[in-house]
Parts: sequence; structure tokens; C-alpha cells
Amino acid sequence: MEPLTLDRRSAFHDLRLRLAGREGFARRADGERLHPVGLPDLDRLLAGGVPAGTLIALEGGGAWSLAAVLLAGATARGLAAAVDDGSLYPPALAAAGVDLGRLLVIHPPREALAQARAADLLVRPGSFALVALAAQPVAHSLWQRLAALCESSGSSLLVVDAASAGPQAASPAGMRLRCEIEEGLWEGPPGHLCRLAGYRVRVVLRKHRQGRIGAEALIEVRCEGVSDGDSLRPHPILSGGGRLGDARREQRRAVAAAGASGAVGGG
Amino acid sequence: MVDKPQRGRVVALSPGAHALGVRVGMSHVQAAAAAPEAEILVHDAAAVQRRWEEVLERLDAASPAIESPRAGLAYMDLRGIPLTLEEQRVRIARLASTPPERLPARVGIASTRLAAFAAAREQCIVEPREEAAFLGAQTLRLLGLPREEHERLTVLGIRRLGELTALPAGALARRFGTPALRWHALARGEDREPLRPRPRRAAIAASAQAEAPTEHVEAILFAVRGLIDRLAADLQRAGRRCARVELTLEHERGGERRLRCEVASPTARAEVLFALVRARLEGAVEAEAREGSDAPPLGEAVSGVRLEATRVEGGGIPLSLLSEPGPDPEALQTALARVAGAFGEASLHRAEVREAFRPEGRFAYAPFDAGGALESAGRRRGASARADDRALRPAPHLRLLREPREAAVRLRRGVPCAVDGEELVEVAGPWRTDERWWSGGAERDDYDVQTGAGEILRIARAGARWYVLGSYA
Repeated sequence: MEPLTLDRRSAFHDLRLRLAGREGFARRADGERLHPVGLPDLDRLLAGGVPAGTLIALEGGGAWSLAAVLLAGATARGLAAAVDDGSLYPPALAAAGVDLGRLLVIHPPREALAQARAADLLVRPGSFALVALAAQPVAHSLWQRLAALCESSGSSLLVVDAASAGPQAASPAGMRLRCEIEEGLWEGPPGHLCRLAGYRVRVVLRKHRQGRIGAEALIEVRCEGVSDGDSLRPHPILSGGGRLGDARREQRRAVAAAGASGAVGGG
Repeated sequence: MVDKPQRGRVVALSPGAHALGVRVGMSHVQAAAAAPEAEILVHDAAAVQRRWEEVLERLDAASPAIESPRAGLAYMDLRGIPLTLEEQRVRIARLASTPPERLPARVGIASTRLAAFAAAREQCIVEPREEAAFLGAQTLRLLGLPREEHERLTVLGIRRLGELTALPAGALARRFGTPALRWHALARGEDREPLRPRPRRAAIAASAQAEAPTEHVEAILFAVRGLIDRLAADLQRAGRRCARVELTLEHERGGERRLRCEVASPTARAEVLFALVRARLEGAVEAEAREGSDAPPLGEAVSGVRLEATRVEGGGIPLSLLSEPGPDPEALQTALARVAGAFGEASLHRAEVREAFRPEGRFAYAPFDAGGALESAGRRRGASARADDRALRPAPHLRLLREPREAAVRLRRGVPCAVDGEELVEVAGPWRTDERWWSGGAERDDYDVQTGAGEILRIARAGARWYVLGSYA
């Protein structure tokens, strides 16, 4: 019996789609496959979803929350992988809906090159819909190589906290998203009865083939079991009493903007 | 012979040991006390099975159909072989007792398994249509009945098979149930169950000898590439797939080194098998390099390479017409093998969430289960997967620092108001945990705080010191 080759698998897949009369993913006019994220605002921002076979760079605060959402979508479709540099927090991934049974976690040495090599090995076969990697300070050529591997294999590589790796990771990326935690959401009176209910993350499109550069989407990130409505305090309050003034709000925006402009300069 | 090294019981013994008072079922200590001069051996079931398989391989020359219900017993179909029965009996005895085993083989020939078994004890041939008479003289024990049934028949005065066949089959079935009809037929020399030949094990292997011994991995891989092509071609011709490959490197001085490559999803594709073997070989070399050994990468110069498919399975790759294609198991296996080769088998994990009071204790890692992941991915594709997509819920992501960082925290009325000089705009906590208090474990107060710059941190106080555990990102 002759084994089934990859070409035959592909032909078999096309035949099956024709028979079923439907596709499990959206497809742009140019043939690019898209995987919808599942969050309407974000899908609109991304003109339909996350393209397959792309190096995706996430920057700024809240990037890991968005990465967890993308990983959850990937594990719902198939398999995903994460290269752990020692700070991966699986309970947060599980809370975001990631199927941990389908997430391969690799623990290579913590040196930047070893981490990048692990990503290379995971992206190459195309078995994982998405591979997550904390950004590493490696050479530009290495990021280019990883981007080319993504394109040839169909796997996407998610580089989180990409700004920390400097401009090297940003330029080969097919998609760049700048995240910013806009405000924390707190529930209950200050003290031990208070708890973090979540936060709002503003996502700005910095680089994309189809989407409108500079467009924004707001994602509300919520802890499990948090009630909706009036009990949440989206405007931070000083624990010693007093409301955060406009000056402090401006200060926060200035700090965030400074971070953003740094990333622009880097890119 | 005892069944296990520690607290074993006697399972077999020689006539000499029996004469000294040793009996089956005695403990190791009792047997040693009864016959201090006797040599006590430990039964090795795996080794016995291996040796028996070798005997069966030799018996294949006498008949293509051999049924072996247990090690030491084989039934062979001799129909259609152009030799007299006596010639066949002698030939089989010679094959079974060939060195190195030199087993005392006992061979009997008859038209049913039960009659042949009895004939082997007497090393004789039972001519056709003489089975009933031959079996009639045998004891009831030959049937191997359950103990209770055997005792009931004995109480009724039935001790030989002839006495059993003298009874009407219907009356016997009414008293002992339908199995009694089979006992009756067997005792009459009738056996309606066909012989169940054992599956033939075709060894699929290839080997090559180097013209000159080499220590270079590239040269060995070059030879392996050719062997893999031959192996894959043999597998494909036989319509089989391979689940395990063993690479044997023969050293110049006679030693050898074996590397085993497991394949989660059996395959006959040469490129997949080569990628696995290559990753395994390079991984072994890298592991030795990491250990800083001064020895050559593969121990010593390699003069020969042998490759064997040691687990061969049938069947094809199941694909579904009604769902999206899943990950290619072969490509996944290759990727895992490459990662394992580069970073070691222990680098592949699956995360598990568990109950704990402190965030750093709420997860653990277990070995990644590729088969389970593929099966799960196959189950939940298609429409159900899209439904899951809609159910996604962004959740706060706590990113723990590898090591907690000590921080300077300023308090106001006992509540943190600044971390490392950064004013706090929100504080939730404290949540006190006191893990392992019975063994002197320290208590800890955890807080979630938001700084003026918008950063949300998890901080903790342990004793008089404050730490930043991580941040929400």
C-alpha cells in the first residue's frame, strides 16, 4: 500500500470541501486563508481574521491576553505550541479558552538562540496552527528566516512583546498589533474585598496587508465570575481615598504614548 | 525454578529436586531448605518467549501453519506435505531440538489437537479413524476441564475419556450445560475448530558495512538514508507501516550501540523515517557534547549500520470526508522528534491546571501526549470548532516573573501606596496564604495593584520583605 503523500492529502482536502460545499475558514480574493479570531471588533480590524502562515508581532501591555485568545482559536482548530522562556502561565491560558491538551509547551534553554531555534523546529513542519514565542533579541536575518518558514509551512508564529526585541522582529512581520491596557476594571470596595475584574485593551493595527493601518479596536478582558454593570470601577481610585484626577489620566496616556512612539521609531 | 527473584514460589522442578522433597508451590526459602544442594533458577518469561519464538521460526520449515497457544506447545497442520507421517515426526523433532536450545522435543501426530497432544506425550502417531480408541484410554485430565467440573465427573465414576464418550451427549449436556457437548466431541476424536496459525513475523531490515570505520555523523547518515529507502520500499511492498525503528551502530571492536526511534503514528514514508532517525542520532550526539565527554561522538568508530523495523503494523491512514483536515501525524511526529533531538525528550510538555492557593502552584507540566492531542484534534473539528471560536473569552493574563523581584513598597495606613517609587492608583488585597504551616512554611500576603502608569502588578509581602511576582500583560 502506497502511503498518502502531502499532495494527495491536499487534493483529498479540496475534494472534501467541494463535497461539503463549505470551507472551515474564510478566504480572501487573493487566496489568503484567514482564521477569524472570534471577537467581532478584532475581526473587523483585521479585515476578517488572522492570516495563516504569517509572522505576527504583538507589542505593548495586554499583548499576552490577546495572544491567549489567538492560541485558544488555534487549539479549537487543531494543535498549537508555545516556547516557554519560564514565564508562561498556563492557568491564564486555560481561562482564555486554550485547550491545554492540544498545546505543546517546549522548554528549551533560556538563551535567545535556543528559543528561536525551538520556534524554527515547531513552525517548519506546519503541524501547529500557531506557535507562540516571547520576543528574543536575535538577528534580523533570523526573524526573516522564521517569517519565510511561516509562509512556506502555513503555520503562524506569534511573537509576543515584540517591541522588546527591537526593530529586528518588527520588519519581517506580516502583521503588527500594538496593545495598550487602557484601564483596569476593579470590583468591590478597596481592601481585601476588592479584586481585579479585568482590564480594557486598546489594539492598534500597525502593519497589515489588507487592514487600515492605525485603526483601533477595544477588547474587554474579564476575570471569570465577574458581574457586569455598575459594580465595576473602570476609573482607578487611590487606595487612600480620592479619585484619579485628569492630570494623572493625562500622565498615564503620556507614558503609554511614549512607549508607542518608541516602538514606531524602532520599527 | 521459582517465578520471581524475591519471595518467589517454585513453578517447575527436576526429578532430582522432587526426590529431595521439593514440590511445586513451595516458597523459595522452603525449597532451599528442603534441597540445599539444588540450584534454584528464576523463571524469565520474556526470555522463554523469545527462545520459543526462535523455535517456532525454525518449525516454519516443516509447516506453513503453526498454532502456538503457549510457549512450549505448538500445533502444526501437516496436510499436503509429501512425506510419510513418521518422516514428518522425525523431521519436526530434529528442527525443535536444533542447537542452541537442544530442547527435548516430544512430537505426536494425529488428526485433532487433543489426540495429537496425547500422542506427543507417548511420542507416537495415531492413524486416522483410530483417534476415538486412542483417546478412550486417556485420563479425564487431558481435557483440561475446570476443577469443579472435573471433580463432579470423577464423583460420577468417570475417570477416562472412553467412559465419558459412553454416556449419551444429550444427557451430559442437560447436567453440565452446552460446554459438555464439546468435551464429548473432543473425547470422540472430533474437533470442529480450525487451526489458528500464528501471524508470521517478517523481519524488515537493512544493513550496510563501511569500507573504513568512521566517526563522522554525516557519513553514517548518508548510509542510513540508503537503508531507510530500502526499508520503506519493503514496507510499502508488504502493505505495512512501521511504528518503531531500531538503528544499530556496529563498532569496529565488536561492540554495538542501539538507538530506538518510536513513531506515534505508524508510517512507511522514507522521509519521515529518515527525519526521525536523523533527529535521534543527532540528539544522541548533542547530548554527549552537552555532557562534555572527550570520547568520540558515537563512542568509537562505526564500521557497520543496521536498521530494522521492529514494530510493523497494517492498515492505512484514516481521513474524514466531513471535517477539516487535521495535522499530519507524520509531520507532527517528525517535528517532535526534531525538538526532542535538539533539546532532549524532557523538553516536550503539556500544561495542566490544578488547585492551589498561590498562583505559582496552580499549574504543572506533564509529558506531551501526541496521540491524545491528535485524537482530540480529530474529534473536535468542523462546525463544533467554529462554535467554540464564538465562545472565546479574553481573560487577564498574569505573567509571572521567573524569580520574584524584591521591591521597595511604601505603605499608608498599612496599605501599599507605592511600588519602587511608582504611586498606586488601585489596591486589592491582601489575600493571606500560609502553605505548609506544619513544616515551618512562611505566610504570604498577595495584592493586585495598579500603578499610575497603568501597569497592573501582582505583589506579595513575605515577612518584612516585598516582592513583585509578576504583571498582567
